[in-house]
Amino acid sequence: MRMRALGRGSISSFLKVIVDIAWVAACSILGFIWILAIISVIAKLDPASPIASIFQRVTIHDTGRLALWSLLGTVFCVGAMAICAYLRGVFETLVAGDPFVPENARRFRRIAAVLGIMEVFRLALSAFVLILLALFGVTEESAASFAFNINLSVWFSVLTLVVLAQVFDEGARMREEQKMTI
Amino acid sequence: MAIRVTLDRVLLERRMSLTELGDKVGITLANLSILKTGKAKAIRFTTLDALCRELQCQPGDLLSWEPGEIEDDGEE
Repeated sequence: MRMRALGRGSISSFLKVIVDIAWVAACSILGFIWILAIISVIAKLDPASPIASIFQRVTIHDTGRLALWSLLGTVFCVGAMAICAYLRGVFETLVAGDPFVPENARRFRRIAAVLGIMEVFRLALSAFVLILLALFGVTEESAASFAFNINLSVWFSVLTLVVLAQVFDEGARMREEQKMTI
Repeated sequence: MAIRVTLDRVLLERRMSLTELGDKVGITLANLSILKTGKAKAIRFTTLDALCRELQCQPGDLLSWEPGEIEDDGEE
């Protein structure tokens, strides 16, 4: 049986649902991170407060670690939400059976940019933390969790998305030409 | 565009309306308007054949070339 990639009930409509779920998950994780950060800040400012005693197990006591994980979590969740939103737009056009629209080329370029920014941010943060750890004492455990490793698969994806954007640009141009052929 | 469609002149000479031509050649009024206003990017031989047959003319009567740049109105 041949699976359809375009139209209603195709793989694209299934993937659109997956992307929707991923968007909601990223949204929820972002909310959870911020609630945890707020609780941790309250617990730090007032250790005798009822919130501090109720959420004693989940609060992060180290200010540096709290700031680091909140920042990292926020950037990655916002990035994931943006990518999901762009992918949703792409899958909508696939479900509608009309993928070669100029908007899709723009969406692929933006996904590539978001992925690139996220990876650069991760590398910059890793470098920053490793410098701090080198200056203020390194434990093997903390150094291992911030190892400076270049993720080649991310950069391969970024380049593939740039190429895909140009393919969709060309497809949109050909579609426009076809539309204006009498 | 460097290629100009002179369909309006031929229609005037034949005293034929665009709707009438559309009915005869089986092309929608919208598509004929695109052709007449020079917005078309290409014309099929079958379309040209139908137009020449109904208007009793040669392709050269419907198209003319004028020196100038080809406008590329493609979107980025």
